[in-house]
Amino acid sequence: MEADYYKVLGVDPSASSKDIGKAFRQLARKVHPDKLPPGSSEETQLQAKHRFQQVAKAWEVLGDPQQRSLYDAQRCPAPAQAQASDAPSMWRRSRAAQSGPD
Amino acid sequence: MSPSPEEKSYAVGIDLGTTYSCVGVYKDGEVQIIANDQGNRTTLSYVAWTEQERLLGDAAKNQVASNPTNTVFDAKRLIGRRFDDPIVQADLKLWPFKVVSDGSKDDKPLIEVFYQGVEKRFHPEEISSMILTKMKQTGEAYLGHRVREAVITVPAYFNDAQRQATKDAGEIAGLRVLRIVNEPTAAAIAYGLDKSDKSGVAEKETHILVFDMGGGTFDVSVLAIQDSVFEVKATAGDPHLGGEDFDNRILSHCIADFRRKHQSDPTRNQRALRRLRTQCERAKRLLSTQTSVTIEVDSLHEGNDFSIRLSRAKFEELCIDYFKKAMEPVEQCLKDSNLPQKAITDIVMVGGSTRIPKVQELIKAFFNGKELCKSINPDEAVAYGAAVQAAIVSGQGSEDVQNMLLLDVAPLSLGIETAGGMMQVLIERNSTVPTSKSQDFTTFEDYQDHVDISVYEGERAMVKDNNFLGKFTLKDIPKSLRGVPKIQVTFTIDTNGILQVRAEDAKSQKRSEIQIANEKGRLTQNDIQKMLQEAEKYKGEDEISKGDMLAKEELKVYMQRFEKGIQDLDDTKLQREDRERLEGKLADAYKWLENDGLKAGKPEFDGKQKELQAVMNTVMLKINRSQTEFWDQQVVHHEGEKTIDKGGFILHCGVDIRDLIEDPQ
Repeated sequence: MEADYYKVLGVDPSASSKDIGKAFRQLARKVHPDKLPPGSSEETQLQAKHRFQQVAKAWEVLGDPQQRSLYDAQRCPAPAQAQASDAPSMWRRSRAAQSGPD
Repeated sequence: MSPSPEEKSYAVGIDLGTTYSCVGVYKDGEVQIIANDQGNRTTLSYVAWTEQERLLGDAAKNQVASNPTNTVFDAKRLIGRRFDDPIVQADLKLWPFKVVSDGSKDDKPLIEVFYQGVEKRFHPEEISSMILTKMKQTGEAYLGHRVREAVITVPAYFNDAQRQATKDAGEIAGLRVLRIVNEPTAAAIAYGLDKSDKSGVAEKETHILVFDMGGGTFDVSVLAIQDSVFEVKATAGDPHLGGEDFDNRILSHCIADFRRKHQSDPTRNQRALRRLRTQCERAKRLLSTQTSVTIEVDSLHEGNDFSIRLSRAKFEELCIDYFKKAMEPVEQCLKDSNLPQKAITDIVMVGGSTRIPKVQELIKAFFNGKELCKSINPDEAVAYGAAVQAAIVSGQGSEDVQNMLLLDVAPLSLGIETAGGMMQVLIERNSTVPTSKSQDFTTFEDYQDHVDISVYEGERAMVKDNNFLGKFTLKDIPKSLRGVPKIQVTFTIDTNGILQVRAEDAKSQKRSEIQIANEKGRLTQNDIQKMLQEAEKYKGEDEISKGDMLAKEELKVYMQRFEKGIQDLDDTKLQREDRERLEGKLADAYKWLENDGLKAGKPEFDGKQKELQAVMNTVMLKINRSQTEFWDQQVVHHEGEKTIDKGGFILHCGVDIRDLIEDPQ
């Protein structure tokens, strides 16, 4: 399971898109490999790269309103009134698993 | 005295352009664009070989009309391409220098020139490295320090091979390439810094569109700028569209006109083409400020003069398809960035070709009449931004600069070939770099011990329509039933936009068990080392100081006069034995120039010239014996021949021998 994107960016799931952007930029400036002191070890650079990629991935999803709403739906399956027709297949599967046999 | 401080080293930013290059450095809290030894802030991306030496930059272009086949330019249009690339094949026809295939399976192009009577072949990377060397020297002359590190820019739409090759060129020039940066992104830094300085509202989110059209390449990028973070949202472009294409259209137009007027075809006359092209380029520039211009070349071909009137309207008509084509990437880029047209707050124009009124008009119309930003210098903005990025990456900038962050994207999707020749994309275009994606592979047959994976870049559905990057063979897979082995292949795009591939056998966890074969068309580390040595050799020649060069030039001029002097004297005046003596001396001097002259400095050149002058003087004195018997006696006729030690005399050849005599002290 991938890390929770909201946790990666350190924002509340109810945060506004403006706040998410701000959090991303602040974090990116901190963790980007370019910000390492010159001559850092390869290990440190690799870690920074990995960390930045996580942050970038989280921003890619949460920074886009459409992708964010899909992610939200997937992240915590909504109650039954949510429209099932255009939800992603993942979501449908998880819902089916939850309801179980009756 | 205190111990000598560590030798200071600066990292510079270099805009390596198709036609012009530019170098900048971040120093004392601001960016300096550095002028070259001619006083120009941009340097022509030209390299030439004359009989005696290699010329770089402006000096190379100055002699292009007399030496067209050995004057090389446009290396950027060749770099990272194959010889059989249709674009290379089309360009070939317009270049006066010769390009051949290296004959290997990679089909690399090589540029062929004659230098000191020998045919020499160079990779485009080497030509680019020579231009980079020139830029490096320009930086060193200004800074008074070694320059060892650089950020080099490339068109955003350059592919993997072109980026790799540019990085290699930097290494051959003896530079550690800190980063390959996209040109429009660099320009955006220049613009963003400029703007935040002026308005102080860096906090507000701005979306800028950079329209970068230079001599040979064209890029469009959309960036979001906020909180000192420059985030590229999308990029698009055409790596082979620019000012030179417009020159070529004017050139074709002129040739057609010449044919019609004179019923003769100048297309095989390289010198004529070169002269005409220079005038076409000039006309194009003028047409950005005036509405019509006359292109004139005296005695262009077979003694025929050429003259034609070209209006701005005609120029636009000749190039309108190119101009319209340039609007496609703008549309594409906006679409990819997921931004509505009105979200673009600033349109930044960079590159010399954005001076063309029609280009400005079209883009303005595209954005419904929005004003274009022309506050930054279109020729220097890219080098400016590269210098800032060099400071950021090497940790040399002010706090403001250290706070900045550049987030660039990969311009092309990256994928692998799957069943039926389909392209399976692993990394989507416009992904923020660095980025990586992994995919598991397995075997199709029982006991299969290797898997071939073909990697492509591009946006088309079928791999045959995309650009083949390389084939990776995973070997020595542990023998087992089909579908059992699990091999994880990871594609990584680094901050330079360059692809790296790693493969790992998930079961054994041993990476060494899998070999990755073939890296397409790239120079090997061995090649680079060899070229580096070659470049060092040239560097020795380049570093002959200006004084040395002048002395050498003077000697050559004197030798030509000397030769003519001998020819002008008929046998009644010049005795045979003297003629032979003079000719022998001259031949010796030419031989010396070809051999020792390559390593010689000013004292040696001056000495040689005096030696020749002395022998000429003795002969001349003898000829004028009637008036000058006395002086003749003062001159000793032996091998040393540098023995004139006093007095002065005006000789017939126009040399005052007082000039030849060293200070008596």
